[in-house]
Amino acid sequence: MNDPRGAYLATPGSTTVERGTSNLADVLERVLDKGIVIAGDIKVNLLEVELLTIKLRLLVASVDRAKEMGIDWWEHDRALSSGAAPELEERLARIEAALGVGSEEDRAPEQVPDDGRRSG
Amino acid sequence: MAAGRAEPADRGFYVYGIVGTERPELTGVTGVDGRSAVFMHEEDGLGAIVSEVPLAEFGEDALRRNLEELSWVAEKVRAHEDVLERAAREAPVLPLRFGTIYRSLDGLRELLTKERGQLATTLEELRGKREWGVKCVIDRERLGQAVHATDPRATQLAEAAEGKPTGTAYLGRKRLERHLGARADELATRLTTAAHERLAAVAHRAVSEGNAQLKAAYLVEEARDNEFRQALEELGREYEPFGIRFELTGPWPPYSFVGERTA
Repeated sequence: MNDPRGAYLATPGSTTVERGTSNLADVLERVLDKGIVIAGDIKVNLLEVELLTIKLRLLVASVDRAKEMGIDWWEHDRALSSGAAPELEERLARIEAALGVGSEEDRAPEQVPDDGRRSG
Repeated sequence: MAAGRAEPADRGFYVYGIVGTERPELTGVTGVDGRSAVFMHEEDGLGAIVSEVPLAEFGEDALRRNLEELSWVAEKVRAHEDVLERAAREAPVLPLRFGTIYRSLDGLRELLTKERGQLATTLEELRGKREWGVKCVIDRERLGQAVHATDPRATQLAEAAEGKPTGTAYLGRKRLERHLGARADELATRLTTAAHERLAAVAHRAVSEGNAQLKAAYLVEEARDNEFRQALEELGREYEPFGIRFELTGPWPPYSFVGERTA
């Protein structure tokens, strides 16, 4: 019971209190990003600190763990996220148009997969 | 009154937090340098929690270098937190962000005098309250299953794809996936927003950064701690079928409720 945060480890149900690495991430987040900012005599570049927080977060967490902790910026970055790539969406829309309505789009044919074309 | 204290040029004063008329016991507490004793610098009814630090480690250049050392930061940040936690157990504390360092106590004295009113007001608001952190962890697969099971449009799309030629079935599945993904996001946002509202209702103040993924801090009166924990446990049970789990951390010094202000 030295650490008051340890007192609730055995919480029943699906609510848990985390310690260890995720707790380090929580500590870093608060101590580096929150709290009153007072300009002391020694200047710390907070921007550097913020960048560092991200590096640290990734260091202390696997990607999956990071995602669980709500760190998922790369998923919102279309350049990094193939699932949300606009060209795929476009391609799908073109294929759907070619199959469903049957209207011939100029650039559609080379994009349509073989089996897709047969059914159209 | 710290007039008698020596202020050699190779030492600085690291400030952890500010307390009001209630003073925590700091005997035996060691500072971020791992050696120096933490002490209270008093000024006009306010107290600053301070320890000496060597400028060879915490001076501007050294600090810039050390901030690149991940292990150094992790250790110092934990030390900063340990001091504040210890103090916060006994008295309301305004936590300062990491790395507030003065070359002499004059600057600190000036700050405490100049900002006295504001600091005292915030301290008064924090009395008897503690910060709790809540995050939710979403199991996307289970959430997707929950959406699929309850959404008529999903069933319709799944049925429409059945028995169709390969290409059409593929497109049907794609359409279903997109539909489910969008519905899952909507549902997660709705559920976590509702969760935040319920927790915030028990809290004195609340801040949330999350969107679909709840990430929030709550300033809770100690007298309502049980109520807060009960609300969270209820939410945990209710949300379990949706693959949504809650993580509670704390109590923290009230980092998230002292505002971002530059004095």
